Parts: sequence; structure tokens; C-alpha cells
Amino acid sequence: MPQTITSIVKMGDFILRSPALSKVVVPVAQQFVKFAGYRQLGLKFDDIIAEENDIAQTALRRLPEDEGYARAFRMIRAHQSELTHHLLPKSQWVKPEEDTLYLTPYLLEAEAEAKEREELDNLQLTTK
Amino acid sequence: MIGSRTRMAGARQLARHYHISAKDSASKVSTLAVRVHAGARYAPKEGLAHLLSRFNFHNTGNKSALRLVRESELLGGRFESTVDREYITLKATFLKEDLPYYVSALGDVVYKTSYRPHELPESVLPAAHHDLAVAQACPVKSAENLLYSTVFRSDLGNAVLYDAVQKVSLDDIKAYADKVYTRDNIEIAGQGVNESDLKRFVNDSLFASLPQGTSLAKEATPKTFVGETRLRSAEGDSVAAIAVPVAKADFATYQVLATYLTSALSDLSPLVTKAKLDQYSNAGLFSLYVKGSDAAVVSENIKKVVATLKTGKDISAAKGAAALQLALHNETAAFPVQLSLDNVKDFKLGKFSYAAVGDVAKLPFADEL
Amino acid sequence: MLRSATRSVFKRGLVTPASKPVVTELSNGIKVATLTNEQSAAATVGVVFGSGSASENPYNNGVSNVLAHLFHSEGAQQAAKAGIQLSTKTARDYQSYVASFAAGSGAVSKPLDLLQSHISAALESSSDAATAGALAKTAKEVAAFEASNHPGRVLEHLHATAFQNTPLGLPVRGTVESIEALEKADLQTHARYHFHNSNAVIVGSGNVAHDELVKAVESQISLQSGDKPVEKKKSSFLGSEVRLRDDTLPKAWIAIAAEGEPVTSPNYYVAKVAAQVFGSYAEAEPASRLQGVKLIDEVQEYHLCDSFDHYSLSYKDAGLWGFSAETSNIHQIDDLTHFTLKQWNRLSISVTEQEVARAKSLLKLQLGSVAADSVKLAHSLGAETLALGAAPDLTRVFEKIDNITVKDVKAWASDRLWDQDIAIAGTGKIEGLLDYMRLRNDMSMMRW
Repeated sequence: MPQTITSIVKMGDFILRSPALSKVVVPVAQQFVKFAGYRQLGLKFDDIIAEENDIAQTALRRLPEDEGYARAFRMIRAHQSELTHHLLPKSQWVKPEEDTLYLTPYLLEAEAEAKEREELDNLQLTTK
Repeated sequence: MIGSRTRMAGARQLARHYHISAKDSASKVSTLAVRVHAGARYAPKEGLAHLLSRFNFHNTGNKSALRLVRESELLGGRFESTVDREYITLKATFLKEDLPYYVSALGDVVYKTSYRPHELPESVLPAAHHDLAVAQACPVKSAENLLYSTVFRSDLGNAVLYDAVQKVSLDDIKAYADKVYTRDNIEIAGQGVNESDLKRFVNDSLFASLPQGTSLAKEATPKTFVGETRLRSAEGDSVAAIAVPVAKADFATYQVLATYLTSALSDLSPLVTKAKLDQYSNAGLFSLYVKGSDAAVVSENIKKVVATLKTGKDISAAKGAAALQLALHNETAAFPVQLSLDNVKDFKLGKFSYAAVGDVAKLPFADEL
Repeated sequence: MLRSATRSVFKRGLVTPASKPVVTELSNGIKVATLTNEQSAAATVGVVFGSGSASENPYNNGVSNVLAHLFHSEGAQQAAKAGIQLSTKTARDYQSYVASFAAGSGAVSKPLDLLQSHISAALESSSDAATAGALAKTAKEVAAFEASNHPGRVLEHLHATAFQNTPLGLPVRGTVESIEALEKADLQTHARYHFHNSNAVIVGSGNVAHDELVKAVESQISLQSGDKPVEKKKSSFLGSEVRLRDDTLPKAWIAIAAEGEPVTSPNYYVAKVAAQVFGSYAEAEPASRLQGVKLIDEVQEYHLCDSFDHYSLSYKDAGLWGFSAETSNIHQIDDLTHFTLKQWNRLSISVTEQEVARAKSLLKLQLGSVAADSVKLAHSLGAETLALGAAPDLTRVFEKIDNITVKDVKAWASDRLWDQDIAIAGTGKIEGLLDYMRLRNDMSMMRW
């Protein structure tokens, strides 16, 4: 089953609601983020979600202008860093509290719309 | 924005008071119209009323626009929202047995439209631009708008369609919606609808959750002015038009005059492209248009029309025809127009405002008429 | 799966019985048909003759249209004084002359007088000046139509090519050339041949009582007696195309149609439902873009057209089933026609339950919407009475529509659309409109 942002967010919420699960999973997730290293390149998590699909394109189109420019800046900066095989100076690393989910709400809305359209396109009439 | 919860609590306690009218009939199809005093004259920015009207039937808290369209087409119904200087009118036309669905759908639109930021650029603005382009392609419409802004300046003179001269933001639209969608400011009318059914369904719908508010309808006579405007335009034919502000007491005279000038009773009827009286709660505007591809001919004709009208005429012969026109109009209108035409006699043109559109070099000035 | 759109929850029984059309045939052969709406303050009566442009020939084409103009110019003065409003409609199968008036007892006599005097005027007594005036005005209007009403023009040419050399092929309005060649004698001959008792229906709608109208008609209306005029030729459909390419126009207008159903066909409503499956679309309307039509999804994804409209037009002998479209995307007309015709194929093989249910509801809405306006109603009442003997009661019509199933639609489409010939018409920038065979090939599939 292809994973959707909606299902991932749902799973995340479930984990966070359960104290036992979050005790195990949250530290693992934090380690994962650390090893992934995107913050050292000045990126936020939402910057590295695949954008080559209709859902993400719709979400990006609806992103407020300043958010869009900030995202473009972060990406160019990260590319430059990669190109020169450097990490950013530590002062410019994205701090955990700065790593906000700025795109996710738009992705969720776009996914919900697509899902509703899919359902309505395949409506079955029940005889009363 | 007012929190929806406080709105709900307040509304439930108040006496259930709406302006509802209904006319039952044998027809298989019913219409339900909600008329809101929210037209261009009430909007703090020009074009705001137009955008709010275009926002109707978009996503609401309960239902997406897509779901509304898909459900409604399965039931056999359609929606439209129109805007003019006085009203925003939401109208649903549907098969008679589906009344409850459509009452609830309209209530939903009025009370719970969610005004999502992306809807403005993706759907509302393109539709508004299209409306504007259609209107601008019509020289008669352009002349009418010029006359309104000349005669009334502000208020009824406000531009109706959004042309981005005054920038309107989403917050403006939301604030305006909160202001105008109140119970005292809307009238609900059904045709082919049982009145007690309608009242019951309205009470069960989100209409009941609207705040009481106050009616914005204006009663004081607005200030009027006399002037002339000219607009060079290569869009279609040339138009010369005159307009006279009409006090409420004179509606009948001008209604008959409009019929007279466009019927065979008057020798002027072949020259007059259009003559009409627009009625509003506290004033009206009578306007007359002469249109043609050759501006020189238009110029000659408007001179002839104005000269004849200035001499004074007995127009009482057109009373019957005018009454019939009203009766035919009322057959299909959700909000019938009642007007007693009995006392109409003579008409003489006094001061008037003037607008010329098109090849204005060949069209006369007001003082040449 | 999803439950159907809340229909069962909100259903409510009908309380008011619908009024039904009533028809009486008088001893002299005239039929009187009424559909009363007592709530209206106005009423409309009129006379509808069962001869329209299809009863004309290439040499007097447009004569019905001129007669309609004559009715307006001759009667207007008198009508306006009496508070009566005239309206006419010229169609392929009928021409109707109606007069609206303020309802009241005895009010029906004046408009009937007016109608009677028009009929006599058409037959002989109209003045030369009035005839010349009507001819000039008609010619001017037709010229304006041909110059600026592109969608209307395409539809006329669609008829002209589909029914070429048969009566339905003649343009309703006539052409400028044919109208300029007409004389007073042509009008009189046409009127004498067609304005018969047996070819006429007196209609009443709005607030008019049937019995009162029947009585008034008996005393006031006298038409020539005689048999129904014989139609010389039956109309028949021929797959063909006509192109009026004009690159100076801003857009392209095209229409494609297969042979449809005649009015009397048992499949009349099935064809109408099939047309509503695709319905109409206008790009500028946000709500129109959200409709549940697969064709609209395809059209939108590639912006294939600005608007389209599917129709099932029916006449006495034949009909047309197809669509008209307007597009500013002139380089993808091939895609527009391809996707549309491929969707038509689906009617025969994979149209769904939900699509048919939607189409049925929308058709009912469309048919029911006419009823409020007494003028429109008078025209359609006359046309239906002439074609079917009596206008069908809407309740029965709705029952018929309700009974249409997916199977019926598929059966009809396999018979009438699948691999059938088409008529094509277009104007504007239609360089991209494919040739006849390419389009014809899209009417079926090798496999699906």
C-alpha cells in the first residue's frame, strides 16, 4: 500500500498518544533525524518530502509566498553545501524547534480533496 | 470573526424571526431564493460584494464544493449566486421533493462557508475576472455603470464587479460575510414550496444559527447629482445614454415610461435600444440607451429622443402594457414586484445625467441635447 | 462504498397535485390545449401552426420568419394599447403566435381578436408597406445572425448538412438571399396553404380557464377549413460535413451529431437522458468544473474547450443527437473531438448506474423548469400537441424517465451511436478539425 502523508500523520499521532510507544519511538526518531543530517544542511523535514506529484504540487502552489521563498532559499543553500562537500556552520543548522511542518497541513488538505474526489467519482448508488 | 459557538448560543435563544415568503404551485420544480442586503452599495470596498457572491457555494465547514455539486446533480438541482447594487441573491432550483436538502445546503453556505485562502486565486478570482470581461465587452453595460457613478457617486454608484482597483483581501471578504449574513438582513422566498414546510426546514437548518443582526437596508433618500461622462472605447458599438434618479413615489411613472418608450405606442421605440427602471429600497434610476454601430446616427437619434421627451407626453396609454410586463415578470420572479400604476399620466424630461461610450468624438455633449 | 447522496433521508411526498394539460377538439377540427396556472396574474393564448421552416422550400425559405415579423409590426400598436404583449416563435416543425394579457374574466377576447386579425392579414389584407417593412427587418436580423452568432450558425449548418436536400435542412430563419427574393404573394400563398383548422392548435397557459377559452375560440377564431397540408418529402439523415473556416474569428466553434430520435419515437427520453449524461460545461463557472462527468475531467486537464453542450433535438421525421463546443485552444481540436467521441462510445459499453441516475435527475429538472413561464409554456404546449396529439403530462413523463435503466441507454446507444455516421459543422479557426473519416472512426472501437 502506498503511504500517504495522511496515514503517516495518523500513525504519528497514534504513537504520541500512547506513552509506552512514544517512550520507545520518539528517541529512535530523534536519532534518525540526527543521522539523516538534513538539519546540518539547513533543511526542514518538509523540504525533503518528494514533490514530484500532483498532491505536493497542489500544496506547494497554495503555500504562502514568504514560506515558498524561504523554502527555495533553504534548498539552494543545501545544494551549494552538498556541492562543496561542506556542512553549514553550526550556527546555521536548523534547530529542532525551527523544524516546523510548514507544508504538511497543505499536503493533508490536498490529499483529503483527492480522496474525496476519488470517492465521489466512484460513487455507488444504493437502491432505497 | 465571531466564534461560531457564541453565534449559535445567541441565535437559539432569540425569537425565531425571519423574512420568509412562499408560494405553492403545481409545478414539479421549486426554486428557493435567499436575498441578502449585501450588494455593492453596502460593501466597504468596490467589488467586495462581487467576490463574496462568487465565494458562495464553495467549501463549507460541513461540505466541500465538490460534494455539494455531486450530491445536488444526483438529486436534480442547480445553484447560482448573483450580485447587483442592492442584493446578493443565492438561488437553488430543484425537484420539488428535495426541498429539505436545498434549505439545508443554502443555510450551510450562508452560515459556514470556510473561505479557504487557496479558493480565492484558484476559483473565485478567475470567475470574477470572467464576469468583468463579459460586462466590459458590452457598451450598454459600460454606459449604465457610468451613469450610476455619475448620478449617485458613492452608495448605489459603487462599481459592482471586482476590477482590482481597490484590492480586496480574504479577510475583507470574511468580515463582510459576517456583517451581512444575519437573520434580519436576509429574506428567504420559495416558489412551488409549501410555506409551513419551508419555515420548519429553515428552523432546522443552519439559518437558525445566524446571528439576529440588523437589516442594512437603507430608507433615507440618497443624494443625487447631475453630470456627464464619456468613455472612449473600441469595444463594440457606440452608446449614448441618459439617466434620471427616481424617488420612490415616482416609480410607477417611470416604470410606465420604460414600457412606453420600448413599445409601439411611442414613435421613439425604433430609436431606443433599451429603457428601464431599476428599483431599490430608497431610490431608483431610470435609464435609456441608444446604441448603434455608426456614432453619427446614434448622436442624431439621442438628440431626437431627448428633444421629444423634453416636450412632455401623455404616457398613460402604456399603463396596461406595463402592468402586464410586471405580471409576466412576477410569474417567474422569486421576489415579485408590486407597483400600482393607476395614477400615471404625463411625463416631461427635466434634468438628466448623460453618458457616452464608444466613438465619443462623434457623440454629442450633454449641453448639445 | 459510499452511500447515495442523502436522498432517502430527505425525501418528502408531494402535496399539491400538478395541473395537467387539457385538450379539446372542436367540431371544425381546431384543437384547443391549455395548461392552467391559477396563481399567475397573467395569461397567454396563441395559435400554433404545424408548419415551420421544414414546410418551406428553398425558394420561399424564411417565409415563416417574415410572417412572424409581420405579426409584430402589424399588431404591435393595437396590442400595446390594449395591454397585450406579443411573442412569436418559428421553429422547424411549427410556428407559433401568442399574445399575453392580464388575466380576468372576458379578458381572453381581445387577444383572440388580435390573433384572428393577424391570420387574415397574413392571408390577404396586410398592406404592401407593412410587408416590405417586415421583409427588410427580417433580412437585417438574419444578416446580423449570420455575422455574429457563431454557435447558432454552426447549429444551422449542422442541420443543413445532416439533412441536406430534405426539409429539415433549411435554415429556420431563412437566408438573406432567400428573404430578399420574397414578395407579398409568397407570404399569402404560404399562409393559405398552411393556416388550416386541421393544422392549428389554439393554446392557453397561465391564468386562463379551458372552458372559457374553448367558448371564445368557437365564436372568435375562424380559420380556413381543409386537410392538413401534405409534406412532400421526408427528412433523412446523411453523414456529411460542412466547414466554414474563418481564421479572422477569435475561436473555433464546432458541432458533431449522429442521427437522433424523432419526437414520436419510444426512445425519445432515452436519447435525452443519454445527452444529459455528458450535459453541458462552461469553463468560467467554478461549479460547472466540478460536475461528475468523466469527459469534463479530460477536457479540463488539457483545457480542450471553453464550453460544450450536448443535446438531443427531435423533429417530426428525424432528430439529431450530438454536441456543440466552443474552443479557444484551436491546436487541440483533434483531442477535443477524440475524447468526446470516445466518451460517446462508453454509452454503449460502460456507462454507469450513477451517470444515468444523474442524467435522469438533470433531465427532469430541465423539463420541469419550463413550466413557470406562461409564454414559453404556450410555445411548447402547441408544439407538443401538434406532434403528439396531446401534450404529455409531466407526471407521466417523469415516470417514463424514472423507468429508464442503464440497459436501455446502452441498447439505444449501441443501436444509434455505435459506429454510426455523423454530421460535422464548424466555423472559426477550424484548421485543426480532423477530416470526416478520422472523426467517423472514433464512433467505435476495435477493442475495449
